[in-house]
Amino acid sequence: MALHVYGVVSAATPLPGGLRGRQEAPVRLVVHSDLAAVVSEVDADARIRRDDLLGHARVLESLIEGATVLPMRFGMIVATDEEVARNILEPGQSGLTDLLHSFDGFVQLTVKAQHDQDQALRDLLHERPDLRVLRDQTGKGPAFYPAQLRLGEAIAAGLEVLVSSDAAMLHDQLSGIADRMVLGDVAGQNQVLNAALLVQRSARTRTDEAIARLSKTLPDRLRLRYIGPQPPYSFVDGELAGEPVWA
Amino acid sequence: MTVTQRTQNRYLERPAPSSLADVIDTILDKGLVIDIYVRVSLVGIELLTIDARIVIASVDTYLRFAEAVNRLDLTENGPEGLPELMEDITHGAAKQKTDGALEAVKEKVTEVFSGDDEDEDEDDEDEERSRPRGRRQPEPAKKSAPSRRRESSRE
Repeated sequence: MALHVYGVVSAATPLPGGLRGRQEAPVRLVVHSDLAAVVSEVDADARIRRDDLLGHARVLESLIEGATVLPMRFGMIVATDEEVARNILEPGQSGLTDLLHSFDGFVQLTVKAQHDQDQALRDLLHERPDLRVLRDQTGKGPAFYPAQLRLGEAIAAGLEVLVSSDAAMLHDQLSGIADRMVLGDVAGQNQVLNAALLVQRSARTRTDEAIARLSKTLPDRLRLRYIGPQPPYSFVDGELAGEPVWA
Repeated sequence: MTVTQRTQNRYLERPAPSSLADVIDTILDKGLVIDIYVRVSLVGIELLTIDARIVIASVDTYLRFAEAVNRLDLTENGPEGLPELMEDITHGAAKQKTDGALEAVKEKVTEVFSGDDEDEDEDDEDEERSRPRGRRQPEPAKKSAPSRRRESSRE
């Protein structure tokens, strides 16, 4: 057996009762000085399944409800408690303490936007008579192959423009809501925006209301998903990268 | 997909917990890293997320767009926004509607891990079949292997 490390909290953090992590193992703290690593026993040789990924996220999301947490990327496996203390908490002490301090009272909320493809296509054709002309030039059969290609290429380009303008609009709207915002990669077709918002715990209700208001004003083609509260995944990312202590 | 069921209407009153798709682009990609302890082999997973980021610009894509546009009824605008229709769409009708057109590439990634996803009836399968399709599974670390894959660089 080994230890899966979920994240780092201050040593005084109470764990929610009955919290279980990967492979249903009870979650506990490894304390060293003022810091604690959140860990659970894990069979490190077992194949990673979706429940393992979700388990990692669930533990962190349970903790962030009541405490400041620095999330580890999935996959930190350490042999023993001593090793956690000696190789993570001890050398990282000042860096981790500073980070915990700087995120004190903050949570991450993520807003993802995507297009409903058919509605986006419909809007695009309404706005662009030239695309309707291209569409009317197509038909069935090999003879129309070049026309189909022309149409498809023009549609792809048109959708790209629509994605960019919708993303810019959402970015403007969201930047007024958060203390800090980081845009993540937008992966995949129909995806418009992936924005991580850092907001004060005390401002959560206000943020929920602002997102709800925003979602009502959007065109039908845009669908928002609102995820959280999460530990500040997107904001610790890179903060310690390149620091010798972590190398 | 699990995600859409949580937002049965468009009005997002409070945030929902991470779904599998969200987890893939946060916990595998973000968060603190202590290099020597990255024990779990993420090779296969990395490949998948790279895959997901390739937005395909190909003849195939264009043809499918053309097909989607040709199927589209431009007069079909009225009923949009009715709650029951919206609900219907978020429950998967949209997926069928765009059948043949491009799906979010992310969905593909999600499927890989969705072996026991109660929301996807067709995916009710055993563990074996939930392995990435058509892709070699990353070797699980051998029992006898040292516990740190980059031990040599450690001291």
